[in-house]
This record gives sequence, C-alpha cells and structure tokens, in this order.
Amino acid sequence: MSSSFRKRVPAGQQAKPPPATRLNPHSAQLLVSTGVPSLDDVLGGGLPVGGVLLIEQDRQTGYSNTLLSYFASQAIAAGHKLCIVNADQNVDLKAQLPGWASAVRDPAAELSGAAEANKEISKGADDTDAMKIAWRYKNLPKISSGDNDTDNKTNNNSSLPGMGTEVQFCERFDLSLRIPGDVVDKAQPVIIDGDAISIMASEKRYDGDMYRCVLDRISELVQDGFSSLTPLKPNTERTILRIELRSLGSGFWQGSSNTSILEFLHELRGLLRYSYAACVISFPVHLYEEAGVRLPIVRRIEHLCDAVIELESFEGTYASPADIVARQTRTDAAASQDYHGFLHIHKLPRLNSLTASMGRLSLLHTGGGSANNLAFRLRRKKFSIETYHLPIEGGTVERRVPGKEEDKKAQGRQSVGKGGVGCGSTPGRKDPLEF
Amino acid sequence: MGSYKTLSSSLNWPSGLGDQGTVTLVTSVGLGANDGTVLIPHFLTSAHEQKLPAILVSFTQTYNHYLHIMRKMGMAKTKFKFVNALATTMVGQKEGGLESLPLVTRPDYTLRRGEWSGFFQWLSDQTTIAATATATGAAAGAAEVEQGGVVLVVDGLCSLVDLGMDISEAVWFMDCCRRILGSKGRIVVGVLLDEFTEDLVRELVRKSHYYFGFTALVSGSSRDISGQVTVVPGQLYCQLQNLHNNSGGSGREFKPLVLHYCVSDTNVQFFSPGQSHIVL
Repeated sequence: MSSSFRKRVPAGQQAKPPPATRLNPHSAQLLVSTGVPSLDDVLGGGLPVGGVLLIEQDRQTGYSNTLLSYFASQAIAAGHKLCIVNADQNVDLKAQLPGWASAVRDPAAELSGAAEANKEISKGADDTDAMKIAWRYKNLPKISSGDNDTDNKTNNNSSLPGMGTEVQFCERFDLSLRIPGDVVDKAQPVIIDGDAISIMASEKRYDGDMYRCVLDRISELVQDGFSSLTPLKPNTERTILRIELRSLGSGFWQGSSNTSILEFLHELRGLLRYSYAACVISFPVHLYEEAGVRLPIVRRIEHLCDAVIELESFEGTYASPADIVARQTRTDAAASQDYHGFLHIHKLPRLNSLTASMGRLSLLHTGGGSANNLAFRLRRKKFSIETYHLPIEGGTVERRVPGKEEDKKAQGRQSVGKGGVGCGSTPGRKDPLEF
Repeated sequence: MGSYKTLSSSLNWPSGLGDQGTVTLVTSVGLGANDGTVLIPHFLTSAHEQKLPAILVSFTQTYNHYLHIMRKMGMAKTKFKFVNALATTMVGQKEGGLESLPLVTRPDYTLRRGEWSGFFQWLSDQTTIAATATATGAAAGAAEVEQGGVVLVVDGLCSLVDLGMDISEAVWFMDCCRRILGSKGRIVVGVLLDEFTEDLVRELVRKSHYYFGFTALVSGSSRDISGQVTVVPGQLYCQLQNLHNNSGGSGREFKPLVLHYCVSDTNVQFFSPGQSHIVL
C-alpha cells in the first residue's frame, strides 16, 4: 500500500510547471488544454504532455480543422511554441485562428494590470455566488463554458511566493473573432507547409520520404529547448511545444514504403515521451477504407497514438447533397440548435496508468459503459461537445401553446353547419350528420 | 499488494510463473482497457518474489510509465531491469542520450533497431550473472532460491512490424532470446492482435507454451468488467507434456480456462464468469 506522506521539499527546489499546464491527480501527468474545454473534459482533463491525440477527420466537412485551429490558438494564448505541419496546402494562420473572447485576456494587461484582471474575475465569481441555484444542483461541478467557470479563472501559484497572475489553462475563444496579426507574428509559429516538405524530402538522404524529413525537423525543434533530458538553463522558464500535423497520411504524404506512417508514429512517440511537447494529428480515415471497411493499417495507427477520437459529421455521412443545400438555407432558430455530428471516442490516454482518467474526472462521461453518446455542435461563436439528446417528440413548434389569435380563428371555423360540435365533426369541415 | 493470487491459483502456478524454459504469449485486441499489459506487473512481481532476475523490454512505453503503474499497485519494491526499445535514435543526441536521466528512471539498456548483437550479448551477460548468483546462493544453503533463470518480459513485440521489419525477423528475435535464456529462463511476449499482426501471432503461437488472449466481453460492454482472458496451452506445451509423461514425471496439469477481469489503478481482479457481483 502506497504511503500518503510526502517528503517536504524546500520551495526553491520545487519544479515549477510550465505555464498553462496542470497535473493530472491520478497519473501525475502534465496536461495541456486543447483549447476546447469540453474536449479537455473528454480526455480526462486535457492532453498529456508527451502524448499524441489522433483526430479522425470527418468526411466532406471541416470540423476537425476547427479543432486544430482551437489547439493552435490555445498555443498562442498560453505562450507555447507552435509548430504546424501541413503537406496539403499553405497555412494562413491569421485567417484561421479564433480570437479570445475573455475581456481579461490581453497579453499587455497580464503583464502590467494583472491585479485589475483578478478583481474583475473575482467580481464575476461573486456575481455567480449571488445566483440562486436549486440546492440539489449547487454542489455539482460546472463544465468550462463561460464566464462563471472556475477552470477558466486565473490559476495562481500561491505556493510560490512572489508569483503574480499565471496564464490560464484554457482560454475562452470566439470563432467570430480572429487573433490580431501582430500577436501571431510575435508568437513566431513554425509552419512547415507542402512546399517546404517537398524541398526537404528531395534531399538525397531522404530520397523523397516526407515522413522522415518531417520527423527530423520535429526532432530538431524538440532538442532546441523542449527535451526533458536537457537541464533547464538558469533564469529561463520551461514551456511547451505544441505540434499539429494536419491530414497526416493524405495523398500528399509520400513515404518510402507502405508502413512509413507507422514508423513515423512510432518514432514520434519515442521522441515526445522525453520532451515537453504535445501533438495533435488529424487523419483522413475515409481515405483508408475499401467498400466501407477500414484497412488494417488504420488500427495500427490508432494503437500508436495515445488518444483517438473520431468526428462523424451528419452532413458528410448521412446527408444527401439536397439536404446539405437545404440546411444551408434554413433560417429558423432551430437550425442553430442542431447537432452537427457525433464524437466517437476510440481510445483515451493511459500514460502512467492502467486506466483512463476520463471516467473519474469527466462531466460528460455517463459514469458507466460506453461514453460514445457524445455529439458536437458548431455555433456561431464556439465549438462544443455535448451529450447527445434526442429532440422533443413533435418538435418545439408543434408543441407550442397556440396564441389568442389562433384560438379565435379556430372558434370561427367551429360554427353550426360548418363543422359543428358533433362527435364526428372535424373543425373546418362540414359534419355529414348535421342537418 | 503482491501478484495476482487468484490468477495464479486458477492457472495452478504456485510461483505465479509458467514452468522453466517456457514461452508465454499474451495477445490483446481493441484499444480500450482489455489490454494484456495488465499482466506485466504480475510477472515482474512474481519473479521478484521467487528471487529471480527480471528484465522488461518495452517497444511501447517508457520506464517511468511502468514504475508509476507498479507504484500505484503497491509493487514499488519490485526490482527489474528495463530495456528501452521505444526511444532509440533521436532522443537526446546532444545530451548523450538517455544516460542523462536520473538513475531511478534510467533504462539499463537501449535497444536500437537492427543492433541486435549488442542486446543479445547484454542479455547473455545478465543470464550468466543470474546463473552465478543462483549457484552462489545454493552453495550457501539458501533453500528459498529457486534454481531458475531470467524472466524476460517483452511488451509490444508487434512494433517491429510497425518499423518495417519482416515477421520472420521478429520471430527470430524471440528465438534468439529463448536460446540465450536457456532451459531455466522464461519468456513472456505481449503482442497486439489485429489484421496487421495476425501472421506474426500465428507464428508466435506455434512457438509458445501458454497463450493468454485478452478480448472484450463477448456479451458486450460492462460497467464492472473490463474484459475477459482466455488461457489455453500453446503448441509447445503438448510437446512438453509428452516429455514429462515419457520420462515418468508428474508434471502439473494445465487446463484451459476463461476468466473475467476488472482493471483499476491499484489492482486487477480476476474472477470466473458470472462471479463479478461476489468479487467486486
């Protein structure tokens, strides 16, 4: 039986975690946010540092790209180093990354006006406490979705004296906004697009193997200050490297053999395990299907990643082209409330543990059996993952209580000889038994 | 907490390990909790309890991962040597590789792809050291020292296929390890079974004495049960039994069985099908 006593370590010798990270209490694993609070909840608190998240892309829609843009925005918001690899097309970050919606979130304000930011947050917390909540719901934990969420509050390392405001673990983003261009430039993200990869792969040592050249480039980045084997230089702060691999395994990726992608993922896992880096990969799984059945290599790819989720959009899977067009022209309020697809969880991270943390830490998890009753929804301002609920039978319009004008019209139709009050009468129609 | 006593008694393995000179194959399917890696702490701890040297070769995880798991399960005192076969060529080249890690989490050996001879030599040295220690203990009259060799646990042998190696090379690797360990050693091999590695598993089954197949529940998902394990004798076990019978020996009979199991962070419980409400 493990002891609960812990050796007291002087404050000066305590290892300070990188900004915008937190520890998983069950596995002592460092976590970073994906930028989507509900996705963090699904993964058991966040993406483990040193881990790989595989997103199996939705077909014919771009919801997976939305998740990737959240991940990139979170990297910039947290001050982490960002590396994006996209062999398909050139990457224009300034047009893709959602901006942060929080009034507090301002890099300049954090540096100079951190105390005012704290006051505003604490004022919001007081307002929350003043809300009247039914007693049975009062003590339930709240999922991160808005101003009142405790996870989004500033994380103060009060154990370390002299520390001011820390960067938030998960920023609140607004899809209708964009990160200012100067902020993106200041973050200096490393972008490896298709042209750069092609040039690197043409070297003699790679012989056209794009996987090998990208792996070497990532290895150089990791060894440049993100390797856990490198002692920290004095007066420097450890930070996180976030790696995005977009559409890995698509037709643009050329390898030396059919198993190049497997070798790449195996080497990447070994590299990340000894680094302060986290990786998100989007994978076009629909390209690896034959007659609706997945090729065996897909399962191997899933085994080589620590977490695997799949986005199954309704438009891409079930809708006909006519439905897609009709959906786009819908203007009623119900359209905005629809789910846009299912989120399937194929694998959860189990680093340093035999079991996944999701069941214990998740609010979306039903608490037993499969958690695959999740759906995602892309609203105007945010992307969220929710528990899927069937709509009310008959719809909300049909069940609406009719107004006074509609009542009068209905009464006018019910006059004698014109529909009447007999048991066989039908409003608006002549009762055949009336005479 | 020690090794899995229920599993050992069900298998009629007093030491928690198979017979000397045997190969145990553990296969897993799926991506969830029905994973044969739950047996790794059991084999390592059983070897430790029998005062046998244990070596863990991992193609999938780091040393820290297993240390954390075993610490949570109360097996922190289990001593074993770790061979890193995951992070090979690219990790920490500037800093001298994994040698800069603290002693507690530093692998005892790093197995690089294609550099088999160095590993085999190291394994041979470990076997020799174990044999010498056993002889010394026996000479000193230590009755509790089993006259046994090294227990070698290989996690994720199928990764060799991911790295582009031929199936025959993976099987050859296991054969070489078995020859080095000799008639006193024991080998446990963990493989992920899917369509990609099916041929490899077929070859390994032919060279195994015991086969553990971890699968999901046939009846569907369950809240309390993580999966089921089917244990059957391997092809070589029959040959082993024939040798025992012909030599007049009374070897322990090994019966196939099916067990359900439940995995938690601190424990793995095995029980007969339908008995979860009693055990859990």
